[in-house]
Amino acid sequence: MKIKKREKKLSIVFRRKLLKVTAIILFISMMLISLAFPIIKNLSVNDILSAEVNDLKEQINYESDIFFKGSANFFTYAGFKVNEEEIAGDAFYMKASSWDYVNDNGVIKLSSDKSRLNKKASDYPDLNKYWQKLSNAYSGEVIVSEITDEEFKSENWTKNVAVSLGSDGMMFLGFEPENYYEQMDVSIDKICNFNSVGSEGYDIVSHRAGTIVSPPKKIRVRKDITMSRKDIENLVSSAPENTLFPINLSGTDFYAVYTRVDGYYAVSAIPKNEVMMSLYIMIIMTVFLVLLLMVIIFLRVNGLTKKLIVNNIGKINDELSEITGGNLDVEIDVNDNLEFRQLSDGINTTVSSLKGYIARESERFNKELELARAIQMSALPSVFNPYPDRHDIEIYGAMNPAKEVGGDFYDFFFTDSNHFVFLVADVSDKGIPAAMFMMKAKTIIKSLSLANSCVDEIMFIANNTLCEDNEADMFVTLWFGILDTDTGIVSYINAGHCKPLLRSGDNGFEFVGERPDFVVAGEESVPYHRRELKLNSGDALFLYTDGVTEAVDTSDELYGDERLCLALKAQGSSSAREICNSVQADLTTYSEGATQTDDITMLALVFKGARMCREITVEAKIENLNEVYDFIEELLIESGFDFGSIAKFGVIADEICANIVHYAYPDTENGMLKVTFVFDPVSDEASLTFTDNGVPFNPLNAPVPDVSNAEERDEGGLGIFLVRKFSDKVLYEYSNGENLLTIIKKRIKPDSGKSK
Amino acid sequence: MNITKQNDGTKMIISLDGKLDTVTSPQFDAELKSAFEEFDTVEVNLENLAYISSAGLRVLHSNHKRTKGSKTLLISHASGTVLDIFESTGFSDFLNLV
Repeated sequence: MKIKKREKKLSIVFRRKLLKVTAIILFISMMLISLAFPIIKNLSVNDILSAEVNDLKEQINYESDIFFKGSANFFTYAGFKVNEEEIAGDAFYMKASSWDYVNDNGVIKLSSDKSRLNKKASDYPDLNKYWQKLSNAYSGEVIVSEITDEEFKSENWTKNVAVSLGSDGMMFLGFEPENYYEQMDVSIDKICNFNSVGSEGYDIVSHRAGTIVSPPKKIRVRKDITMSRKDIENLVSSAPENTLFPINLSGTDFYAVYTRVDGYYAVSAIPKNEVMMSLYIMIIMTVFLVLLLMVIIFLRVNGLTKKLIVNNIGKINDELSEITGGNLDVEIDVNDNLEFRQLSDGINTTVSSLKGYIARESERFNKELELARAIQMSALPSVFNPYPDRHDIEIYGAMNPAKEVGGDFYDFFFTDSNHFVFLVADVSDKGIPAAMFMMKAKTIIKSLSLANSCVDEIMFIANNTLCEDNEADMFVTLWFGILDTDTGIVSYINAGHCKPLLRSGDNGFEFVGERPDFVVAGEESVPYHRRELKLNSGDALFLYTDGVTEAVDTSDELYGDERLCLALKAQGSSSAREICNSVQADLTTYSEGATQTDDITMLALVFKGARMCREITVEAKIENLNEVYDFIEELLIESGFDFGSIAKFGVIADEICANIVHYAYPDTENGMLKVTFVFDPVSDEASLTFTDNGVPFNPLNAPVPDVSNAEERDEGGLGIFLVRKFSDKVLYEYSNGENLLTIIKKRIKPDSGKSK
Repeated sequence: MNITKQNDGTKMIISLDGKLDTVTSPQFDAELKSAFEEFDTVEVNLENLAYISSAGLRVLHSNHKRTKGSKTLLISHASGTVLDIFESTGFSDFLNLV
């Protein structure tokens, strides 16, 4: 068998999709963050380090300006005299490596280099450059030379300072690197002391050659700055200035920026770990925030979906399942929003129009079902008492289908004057199909029974006929009997049916029957075994279907065989109708209104006796008459005649017998007298035939006596008068030398009281 | 049939129990005759008589005729079939039914 894939709930499907979308958004944000990460990192680190470096640069420039621009004061103060001694003293103080004095005419008048004396300033390019600019300048104007990249790199440079002395000419000072550094280092060695970059980073100012100027060694040790000269060389050789680049310094990865300023390198570096750590924290925070945002969005959308859609759909589904469960009166009322209100209205409209259709259809169907029920019921014999002329059997049947039409049936009919067919059957199933099969089975069995009197042959043919075209695979269980009303013998077939109950003599009802044969219409050519039971006068047979024994009470307990047996035993010697009605009443009491699940069918047959035929032959003598009279009386009692009738028969018998004894045999001593008694329950009549082989005599030809004057007349003819009076019918026949006088008299039951 | 006789001093009461038919009539006839020899009045009690046939009727008729004018034959407690027979045969017209 194919296993149906489990369907997911809408809320779960939606949640999954939403989760998927959220995850994708999250993933994309992560991607963007990780892509932006290096850029953000560079930008942020560069910002920090460049600022530091610029700061250093400004401080160095500031210190340089203080010194070099301030140096003009040495030569322009009020008491300054241009003489070699004073100038040389100032230059020495200033740690200048060379100096020149150019007079107003551009002639070198004083110099640390005696070879340049009295030469023109324009003869020395380094000097001429400044002289051109300062020859007409005001006193105190200063030009400080810049150290160019090339010079810085070649380490072959001189820092020059030119001061205009106004009309006195110009002072020119030159500083060799060692003099320059000696002068400057003192001013700038502290500028990095209090600078810090992050927590682990630092600023450094160094010489071109790598000598660290600031911070001083003491602070370097404290800050664990272990940058070596080699590191500086490495740094400046691996990247251009003012550019962020990674570098390994003394075994630690750093990001660093450097710049060159006035003969120094200013370096700012920060450990990579620190940068990364802060970035990682930032990223984690960002991710966490994004995640939080997504979760909030997810929960909110999920909650809204649930509230607006899933809950409403769930509500509609619940109500729909109630509708599909059969309650069409449910009205769906979900009107949170337009769409659901339209949906609810749509469903309500559909259901109400469906209700209309169903009502119309079921009305039509019910009418047809009523008709079907009427047809089925009319197919079952329903006239009780059906044979008012017959007194040998009494029959009553009842069928209560569980649905309008049922699969149970019973039937009974005479096939001739003394063969009575009766049966109870149960088609496997209920309702219309069973009812149709039942009609077929009933018709076949009846027509076969009318043509055949052998139960096993009838059932064999019926089975084969019903097996043909039995597409629906239905079958019938049945108990089928034929009663010979002359003998009381029932020959029967039990085809898979419940065992009937027999009330025999004074015993109460008992189950009868052997192992049943196979069901009818189940399989072709199965044999059916004819069985027999004998019914005596007053015996009863109760047939039923399993709807009786399998009726349930409110706690689903079966009625069962024993209860049925008890209910029947409580009956005593009731009529067929009373038997069925009392079982039905007991069933109704038992089931206490529990729903009837199966068709309930029962059929009771009471046998009132076989045709009785007895005879007695005696010698026609007075002394034998009592024997004859006793014989007649006994049979009349046995046949259920009342005392009045018995007395009348006594009179009749005496009149006729006396007549025979006295007159039939005038010439012989040993004539015979035969009396034949026949009781026929069919016509409910007893007939007495008196036979003698004496003188032919028809008593019916005797004149009717005049009873108006009995006192005076002869008694002759009184006998035959009484015979006629008390008989219903008197027949005379003479044949084969015998007088046959037959008296027929209808039975009057003892309880019907008065004699005629 | 059982016949019981009872003498109350003025009359004889003959009670019949059973059937009065061809077989039993001669006996009843004899008993009735002997009773009339002793008593002027004889009462025949039919309370327990199931039926009477024409043989029995003849006995009653002959005794009635024989004793008419001199003696009295009373028939008592005739009912049911017996009374029906008396009435339909006209016997009830002349018998002294009491």
